[in-house]
Amino acid sequence: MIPTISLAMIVCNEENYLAECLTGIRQTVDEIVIVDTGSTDQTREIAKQFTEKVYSFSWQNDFSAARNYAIEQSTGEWILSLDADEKLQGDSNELRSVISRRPECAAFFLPLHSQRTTTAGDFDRYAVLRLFRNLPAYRFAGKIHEQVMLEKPATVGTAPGPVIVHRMVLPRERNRKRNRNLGLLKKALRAEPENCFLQYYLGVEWLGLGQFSKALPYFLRVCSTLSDEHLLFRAPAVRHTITCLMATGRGHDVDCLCQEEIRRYPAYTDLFFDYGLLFIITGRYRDALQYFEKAVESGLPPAIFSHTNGTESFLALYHAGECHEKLGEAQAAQACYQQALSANPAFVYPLCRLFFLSLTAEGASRSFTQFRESGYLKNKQWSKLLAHLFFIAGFSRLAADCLENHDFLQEDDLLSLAHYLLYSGSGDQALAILQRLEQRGEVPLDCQIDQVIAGLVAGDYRRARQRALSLWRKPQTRSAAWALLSLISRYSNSEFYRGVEKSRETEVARVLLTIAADCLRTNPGRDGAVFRRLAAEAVGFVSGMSPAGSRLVANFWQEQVKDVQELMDILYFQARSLYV
Amino acid sequence: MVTRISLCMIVRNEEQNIARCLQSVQGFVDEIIVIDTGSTDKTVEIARRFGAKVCSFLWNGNFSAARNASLELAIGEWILFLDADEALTAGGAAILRQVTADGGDIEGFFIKIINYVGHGNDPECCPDMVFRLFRNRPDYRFHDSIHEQIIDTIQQRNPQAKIEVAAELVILHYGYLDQQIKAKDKINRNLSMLTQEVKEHPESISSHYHYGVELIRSGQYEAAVPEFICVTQKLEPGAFYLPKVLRYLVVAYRGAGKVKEALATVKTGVARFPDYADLYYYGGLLSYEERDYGIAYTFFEQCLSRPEQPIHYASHSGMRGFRPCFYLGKIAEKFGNEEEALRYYIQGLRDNPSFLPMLENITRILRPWEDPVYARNALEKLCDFCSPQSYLTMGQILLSQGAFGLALEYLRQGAAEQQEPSLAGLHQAVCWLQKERYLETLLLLDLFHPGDSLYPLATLNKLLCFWFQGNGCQIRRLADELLALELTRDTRAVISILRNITDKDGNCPVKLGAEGMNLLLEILLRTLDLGRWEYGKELLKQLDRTCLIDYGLTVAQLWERYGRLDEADYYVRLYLDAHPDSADAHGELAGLLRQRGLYLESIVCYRQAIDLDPREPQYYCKLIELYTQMSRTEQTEAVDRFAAAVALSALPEEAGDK
Repeated sequence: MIPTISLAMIVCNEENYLAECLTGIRQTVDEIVIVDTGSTDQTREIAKQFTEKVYSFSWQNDFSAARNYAIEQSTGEWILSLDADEKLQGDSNELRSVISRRPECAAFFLPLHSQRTTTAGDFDRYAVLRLFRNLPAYRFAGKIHEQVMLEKPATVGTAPGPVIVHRMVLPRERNRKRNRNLGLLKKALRAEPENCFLQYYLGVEWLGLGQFSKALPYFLRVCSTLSDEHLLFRAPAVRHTITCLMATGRGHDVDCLCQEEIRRYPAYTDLFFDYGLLFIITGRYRDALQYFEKAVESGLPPAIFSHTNGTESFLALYHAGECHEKLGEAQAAQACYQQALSANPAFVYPLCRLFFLSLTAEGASRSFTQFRESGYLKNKQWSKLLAHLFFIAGFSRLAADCLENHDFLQEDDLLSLAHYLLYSGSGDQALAILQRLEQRGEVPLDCQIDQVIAGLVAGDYRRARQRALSLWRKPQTRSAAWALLSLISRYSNSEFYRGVEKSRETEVARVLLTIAADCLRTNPGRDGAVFRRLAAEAVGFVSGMSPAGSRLVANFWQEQVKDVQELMDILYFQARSLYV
Repeated sequence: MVTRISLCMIVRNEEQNIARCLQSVQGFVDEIIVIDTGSTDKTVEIARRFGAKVCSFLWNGNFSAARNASLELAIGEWILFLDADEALTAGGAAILRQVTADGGDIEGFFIKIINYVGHGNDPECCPDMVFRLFRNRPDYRFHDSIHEQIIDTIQQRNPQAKIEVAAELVILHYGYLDQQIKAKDKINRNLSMLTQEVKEHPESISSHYHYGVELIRSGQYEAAVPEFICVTQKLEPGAFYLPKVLRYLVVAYRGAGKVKEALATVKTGVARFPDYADLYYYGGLLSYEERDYGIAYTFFEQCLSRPEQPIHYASHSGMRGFRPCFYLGKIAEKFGNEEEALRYYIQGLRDNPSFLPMLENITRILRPWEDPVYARNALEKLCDFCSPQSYLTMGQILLSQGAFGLALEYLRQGAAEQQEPSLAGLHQAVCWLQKERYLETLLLLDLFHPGDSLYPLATLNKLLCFWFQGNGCQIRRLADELLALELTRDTRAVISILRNITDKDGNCPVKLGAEGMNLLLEILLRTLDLGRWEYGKELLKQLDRTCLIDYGLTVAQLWERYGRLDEADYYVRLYLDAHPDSADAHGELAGLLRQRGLYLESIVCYRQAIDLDPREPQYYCKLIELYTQMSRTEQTEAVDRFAAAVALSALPEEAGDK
């Protein structure tokens, strides 16, 4: 017999996400129950498009009460509990087959992927109890971070899927919630000072706010109190403890903790990874390497362990590459980075390292040929990144080449392409692109600055000045306009006021020094002298502007020193003491 | 109980060596047994003079048979075996009897041997261990036809035999010195015998080993590789000469151009013998040659921190001293860190004062042609000039670096009054010439006469002397005289150039080969050293354009050295047009641009050099230097520009402190 499933959900002001969530799940469940705890936006209306069963429940600072109310309105044999910012990923029948495969189970853990950033694959995996029989005894408990309480002895299964995907929480939103949560948790803990789960969540909140030393005691207590029966909490608590200890500079304690916990959980991949990171920090790259290799070897940890995705593959491989680099083993590093990149093409850091390894070994032109011939430029994200890297390394022509002949270029990419073209001496092509973009609508400031520079390079001072003046008319771009007008007048040897209002100095310096840096990136060619002259005038103006400007110029050159040193680190890290 | 010691030797035509050997043990051994395998010189006579029992042995190509013959004759309880080209150190001979008397149940001793390798004046010491002192028992006999082994037999006959190291006994071995090897064609003799040996006894580890060593010695690295691989495979893991075998394997791989394999062997080697300095040294050398300077740096630093090497490592001299120091210094120079380079070089020089490349590099860093007083003070502090020869050596180094004034001081201290024609005299003449002291120059050069081997060079210098004085008549006379001598085509061409310059006729440009260009560039350096820019230009004008293009970079560097940036700029660009991919030329041009204050152009140029040769550290370092200078300049100039802003004046000092 096919079991019936009710989705029970509580919502409050979720108009942005609710529709997406419900659309996805409509086919999967037999009934949708929405309990609104006081929305002031369109949430209720949206909900009603999907179900009749929309209820109001006045908020009592108690998540469990609201959830249990939702369950009570549900008629299905099973309850699926989701939040509005979550989605179910995968086959719509998977849920039912999970249930029917294990008839003895009263509830199931489902994997939850919590996105850390917008990068694909960058998520933490947790096991969450979200699918359970609709029995009167199965109810939520806890005012916050509520958990389903099952009657013992109940068999709980662990399902490999479907995966609940938790949308990335924007920092501002998260912090707003954090303050609310902190208050609730503190209050709850006063009532139950020995409650490990509350301690755990309080630790998580402090951790989220970056207060490592405040979070640490909670996690330490959780680790020492909870047994492996509560692995669901103990495992992440161990890793959070490591994070806190690391952040507070207590490497020695991390070492002890890792040793202890690895012995206790020999299949917990994330611990190998964490241990490897510790060795990187202490400069013991050979040891670090060993642990990253172990992490890859050991693969995904059992579902019940909270897990940072990638510690078993691309993250570990990336750091292994880093270790190889530090040990002067460029080829091995390259292999690691390539593996990492194919394990997760969206995680592009390895590509950056590959770029610099190649650049410092082969020079720019040969690197470009190699990347092109190995197919890197066919991937949209990669080709954009490589273009950017070639540009900042000083090879604007190659940067433009990375993007040329691509049909996937969007507006932003075209802006970059124009920028690269401008500084590789193809000002005409750059202008053509920029003008096309401008016809479509408002273009960003950088684009307008590029147009001024293109005018200057082409010797069309009048047009450059007109454009700069149009920037002057808008208050928010007035400083940039001042910078450009100064540059134009110096470059064309015409009169202009020397002084800059004090409040504008920083912005003027920023604009001009950025232009100077870009001009110095240019490969010397037909326009080489023009760009160097522009750079000289830009720097000259800033250093003559004021003592502060002069200081900024001095810092600007110091920054360049650091850039060169970073390149050298790739090649000669071991001999660093000789050149730093 | 008194123990008697029999010295046993086999010899043939060793009249140069045998006395040294026998002298070293005279009075410390009880009998001397010499088996002569057919000397035609005074070897036998000399041996008899030392009281040796001499027997002739009909040579059958088998060293072991000859050695065993000597054992048959020995009556002592102990046998000491030496070759004629070896000798005991005085200290070693004196305790020989004590070592054997205290022998107890010991059946034999390993003795430290120091092999002198290389040239007679500047040999390198390679210590090793050999088994040369053992009890005289009828069943202890040699086997293998060369690098004859007896220890195997002893251990076979008497598995409990106690073997120890007699640490205080030292043998000096002169047989690997180049002149000795040459004299006896030792390598070929050994090679042919060992080839035979390996064929006959493919199971013998030691014959593979010695065959491999001999192959390396004769430069056949590729063939040596399988021999050492074979040895490492057959050798028991605890074998005491395994470290040495690994080192040889690395050397063989390196010589055969198999860098990867060599480095892999270093890696496994240091994992097993983490204290073995020689392995790190070769690891460093290989990485240095691969331009992996970071790794090379680590390897060489590790050499320096290794502990005292156990005797069985047979570590070469200086492996924890001057050798890694030399390369560390070179690496530091590549990173533009002259201070650190000097530190390493000085450390190395202390370890081996006679390793001249070290002194040359130190001297170059001191730039004695720019500031002779400073250089002199530094050198006096560094070096202990204890002999005339040491002054001459220093003088020659300075001369070769174009520091003529200072060179003269040292050369005169080394050989004050010149009465006879000599190289030192000629060198002094060159230095006087560079001081425009023509009389002193000519007096010294007059000592040379036709027929002296240095006469052409002396005459050429005379010619230069008159050139600088504008004496066309003398120039023509000397040039014609030189052209009549049997000189190489290139040298004649250079002389013709000098002759033609004064003629001022329209001459067709001359094309010179490498030899001629070197000579011409040396002359150019000397004209520039005298500040005679026009002379230099005249000289270059005579050259074919292709020569100028090929040597443009070197010519530019010479002009730059004497501060003539315009000329340097011209020649480096000439070179760049023909060699647009030369990182060196871009680097040179960048340097010139920087000196002329064209910083932004210089930056772009350095960046290009980096891109053309991204593994060369010096351009990165120069770029950093340039950026740092620009940052400093900005801060200093800000003080003048914004004089009113008093607070700013503290900045440059702050930066200076850093």
